[in-house]
Amino acid sequence: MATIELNDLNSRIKRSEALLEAVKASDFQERLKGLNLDWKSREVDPESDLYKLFVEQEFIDDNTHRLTKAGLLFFSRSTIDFEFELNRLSVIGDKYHILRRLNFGKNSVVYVAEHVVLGSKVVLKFIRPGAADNIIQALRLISGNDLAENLILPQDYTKITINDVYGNEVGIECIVFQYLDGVSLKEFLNDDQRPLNAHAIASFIKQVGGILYDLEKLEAYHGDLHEENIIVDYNSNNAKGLTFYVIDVSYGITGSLDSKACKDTDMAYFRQHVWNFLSAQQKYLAKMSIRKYLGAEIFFIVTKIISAEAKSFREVMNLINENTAYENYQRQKVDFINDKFAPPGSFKLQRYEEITDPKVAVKLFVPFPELMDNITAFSNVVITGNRGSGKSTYLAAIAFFPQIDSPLVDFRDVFGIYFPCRQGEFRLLSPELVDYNSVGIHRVKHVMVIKILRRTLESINEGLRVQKISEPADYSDLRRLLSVLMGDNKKIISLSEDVVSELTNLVSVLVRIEMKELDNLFHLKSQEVANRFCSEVDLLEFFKVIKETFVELSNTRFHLLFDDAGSPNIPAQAQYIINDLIVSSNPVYCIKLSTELYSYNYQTTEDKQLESGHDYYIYDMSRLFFTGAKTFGMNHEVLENYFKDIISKRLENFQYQSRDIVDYLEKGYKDSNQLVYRLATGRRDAYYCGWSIVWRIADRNPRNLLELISEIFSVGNIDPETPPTLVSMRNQDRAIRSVSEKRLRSLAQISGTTTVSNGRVTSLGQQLFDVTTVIGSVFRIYLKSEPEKGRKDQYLAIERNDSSPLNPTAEKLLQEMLKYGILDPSRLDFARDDGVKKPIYVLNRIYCPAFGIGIQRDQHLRLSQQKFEELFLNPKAFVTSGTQRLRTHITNSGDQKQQNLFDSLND
Amino acid sequence: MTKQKNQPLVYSYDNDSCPLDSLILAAGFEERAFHFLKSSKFQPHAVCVLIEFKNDIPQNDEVYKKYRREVEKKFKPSNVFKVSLNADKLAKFEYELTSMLSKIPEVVGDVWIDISGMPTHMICSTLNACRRLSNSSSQTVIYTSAKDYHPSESEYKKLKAKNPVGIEFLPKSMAREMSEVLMLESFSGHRSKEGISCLAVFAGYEVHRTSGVIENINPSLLLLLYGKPGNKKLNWRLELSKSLHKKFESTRRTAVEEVSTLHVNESIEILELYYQYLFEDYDFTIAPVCSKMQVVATFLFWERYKEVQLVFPLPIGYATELSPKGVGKTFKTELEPRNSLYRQANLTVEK
Repeated sequence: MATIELNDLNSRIKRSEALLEAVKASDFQERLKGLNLDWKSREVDPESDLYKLFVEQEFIDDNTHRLTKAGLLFFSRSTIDFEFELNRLSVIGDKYHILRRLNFGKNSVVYVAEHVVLGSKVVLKFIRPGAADNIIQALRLISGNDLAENLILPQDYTKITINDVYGNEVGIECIVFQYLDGVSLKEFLNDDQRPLNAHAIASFIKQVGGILYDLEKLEAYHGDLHEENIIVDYNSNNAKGLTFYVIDVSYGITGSLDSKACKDTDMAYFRQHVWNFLSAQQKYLAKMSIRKYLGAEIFFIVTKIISAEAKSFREVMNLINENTAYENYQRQKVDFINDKFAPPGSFKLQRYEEITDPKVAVKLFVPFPELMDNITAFSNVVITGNRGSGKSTYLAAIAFFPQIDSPLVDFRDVFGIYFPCRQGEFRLLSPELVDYNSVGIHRVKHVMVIKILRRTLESINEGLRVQKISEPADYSDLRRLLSVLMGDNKKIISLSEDVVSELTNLVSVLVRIEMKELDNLFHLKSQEVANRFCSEVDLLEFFKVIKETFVELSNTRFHLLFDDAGSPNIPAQAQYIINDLIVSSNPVYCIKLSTELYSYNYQTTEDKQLESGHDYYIYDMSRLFFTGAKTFGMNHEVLENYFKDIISKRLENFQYQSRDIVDYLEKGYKDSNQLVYRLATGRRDAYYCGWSIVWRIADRNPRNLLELISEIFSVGNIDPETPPTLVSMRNQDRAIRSVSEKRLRSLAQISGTTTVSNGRVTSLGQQLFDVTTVIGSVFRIYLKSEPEKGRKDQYLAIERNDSSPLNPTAEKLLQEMLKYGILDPSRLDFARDDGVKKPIYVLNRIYCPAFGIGIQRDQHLRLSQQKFEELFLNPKAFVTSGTQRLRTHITNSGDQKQQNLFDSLND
Repeated sequence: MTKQKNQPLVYSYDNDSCPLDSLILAAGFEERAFHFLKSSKFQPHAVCVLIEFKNDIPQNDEVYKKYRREVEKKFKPSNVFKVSLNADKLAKFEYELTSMLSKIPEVVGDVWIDISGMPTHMICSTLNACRRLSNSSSQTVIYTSAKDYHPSESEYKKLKAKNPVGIEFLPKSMAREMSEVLMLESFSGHRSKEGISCLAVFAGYEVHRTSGVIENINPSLLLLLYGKPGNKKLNWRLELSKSLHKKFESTRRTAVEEVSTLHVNESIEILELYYQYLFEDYDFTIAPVCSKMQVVATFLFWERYKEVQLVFPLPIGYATELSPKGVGKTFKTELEPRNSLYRQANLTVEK
């Protein structure tokens, strides 16, 4: 970089003081005239008044009495009035007619002119005497070589004669450049509305760095690379995409600066422009660091340029073309992550697979055919189910993950765009953070639609990368549509294909727009906002263009998949927007979402209530897997085999010695009544064991099943190398009770609050835990109270025996119990007292071992509104008052069985 | 002591004379939160911004009055300002604090922030408000440690004896059960990886909060940062924290590190180390559940990388009887100005 030593600078300033004094004096022009300069020979009068001063200033060589180069430049700057002289000339060099002045520099003056015959515009650069040593030689050097085409080289040379202010003739060299119409780099970077994407800076480095490298190879330089000398063409009609032209090359016209200093100045300017790029980009990155925005590859290059590690343009271009630092970084990254983040044992971690590697998740996924058919069909679908029921996996299974070799659906028919809402992407749209009244729901919808556009293009781009989707011949329709959707046709800037692919460029632009529009939701007054809002109609148009642009997608249909779309992952207001998409019935895209019970609002922004079976279909996984006799539910054996398949696939994948789970579990009891009998009579050998018990304890939930089997394997020391060995009944029991106990205890860790008796705010988790333990304990008391007989009746459910409305808190707690799958409302039955068919609430069987109760449902408690509320709001009182007689009965064995001891309290 | 570029140093502070222009502190119920105010002398022109807690903790009114009396003794009445942290409007706190601070000219001067009585989200919001208002000034963070923390060592030993591998459940802690994961707009970060995420948890002793935040974020990678106490006699607390969180290591790919509970640099360095390799492929979220100085580190890290999301798992309330007891050392940390142009290459600070 060009540097001036501080001492040197100070002495130069000191030395120039006398000259400044002389220049300020009113007679300076007269004294200057006294030098009597001969422009051709540079000789001056040694007797003149200023001679000594000029010698001191190193403007005159005292030996030859001639002006030095610096002296000549000083003299010419002081004595030539270009404006006046050029106005006198009608035509320059017989060819050019001056139109207007562009720039007055210290080494040259620049005008726009017109070719008198061709009518084309040119730039005339008149070089001040003393500014160049040998301009013709310099022009020969840079013109006779194959340089980058966006370096605008001189196309003509001429020489004119004008007069200095004393009337002496002086020859002036003029070089002629092609005139470029466009914005300067300065104007380009200052345009706040232009979404510069991360790759624009790479394009700049590649293009301008390449030009300067070409010059460097010739040992030439630009010499004056300020931001007005870089012209930017971002017109979408430009086939080359974003193009930077370097104009006004000043090689050989650098006044008193030496060649080394000029080269250093080029690098200094270049670094400054890179920095300005970063500043312009960061200005609107409210929530992103420049490193994240640029990405590691570009960031490494930029860092090395800014930090002056790259000392020449050869090194700059090496960074662009090879970037070994980035390649090393990629290797280190893989090593670091593998080294630091230990993978967990994998057998049970269905959820882990879902969140880390869709390839594995899909590989191990066993879809239930009936449900999978419905999920795959083109229609709006809502999937509900307990946690762990696999609803996310069903959605992920139809999402487009191009790295999966054998997907369950063909993306040519079903193109799923997956949003894992639990990650918090939509939580920001909460009314606590966004003022919907001032912002308006349409602006939020605009942001959500942009998210969908961005995500879709990202998925397709990934498909292009792994060559599942072929590169289209033409992106113009897509680019045009996106420009329209963004409300400004000039916004989308294309980049050269050798910098970045067109689709990556579009994705990058959308990322930036999305970030800006999202920020606008929070800081509406401080930012420019979109002048057009995207809607479901635009989304439809977008997908149509996608179908037309990408051959493989021409017949596909788009499924927008919102996984875990309930509150708080997606706030209610944002759910209304998704519902708007649901009701915009169309043949191109549909919506599928998964949610827990009572977490999703089926209402549009226009207050229309969605109708199940009309606007959407709902599939409740717990209800779907409900087994029952004949027409009441699914065939028991079908479900058992389905769950066996789930385990079998994992045993196969993790290379266990046998794929049949029965080979690992000691069989246990011939029928489950034996277990109930042993539990009721308090026998120590009441073991939960055997496949037929295990899969039923899992209660239709794959995650429960995997956890149980995993724990049994752990207790029984079964691993892939172990030959099929039966885990003893006792060890199975120990593992199962441990899982059940953990599940029960973990209820207390459910987040949230609830207000119970006396307005006391308590932990929702703790309250659910208390209610569950009371329910389980009451069932246990009932089981223990069974009279001595062969078959014991097991209580496993509760029923509302009237239809009176519940206290809102109790109702809310009931909903939470259903939402977290503690109770299951799948079974409908006619209530004993009012004869109305309604759900009975069955305790999830995963909790049965923790309470030492059986897993079959023979009886259920019938509770009035009052008792029901007591159970939820004051569980301890419920267990005390409700089971008093039973507990007495257990103590005084031999009493008659009470059919329902709560009957006497239901009044 | 020489301060390295851009790295705040923490050092013990036992001087009662405070050359500050403004003091921001919260009326926390812990004894240590009151200590700095009680034991310090302030300049006549100094301004005090006192943050009042408005929630259902019954002692709060009395505690606030105690602070108010002390503040009025030490600051001119016209130099005392109050702002509230309303339990049901946590998201508005930063806005309200910023609005107030913007009207106080002294806030551009030497601002000291006593974080001893502040919950995690308040520390971040307060630092953000101050540093955004005056990005060319440095700020001083004051932190007073307690003498005794809950649970005690004897409780730990009993738990360990019962559960030699991993302690599944802990007796009650000061922070009660998990209520929600608070996400503030300022710290909401930028999500772009469609579910591929890493959650860094500064794990403490309130395992239910860790559990809640892991459940909520459902990260692909988990980075557990255990607090390493400065005093070796307290190393059992590190072991306790590890035992409590052991169970999470089997749920997903997990990395484990130990970082000082006090020295901000250490936490920033470890976050930097991981983030340099994660930022391209993972959305990064940090949940500071452990020490208050680690929250300061988390904030400073976020300030560099605003795409990082900070989340604050909130308890449903506090069991004040289980709060840290007594007053330990007071530490002072000077934060470099937010705007890098105003950062100095080397600063020398007196001990």
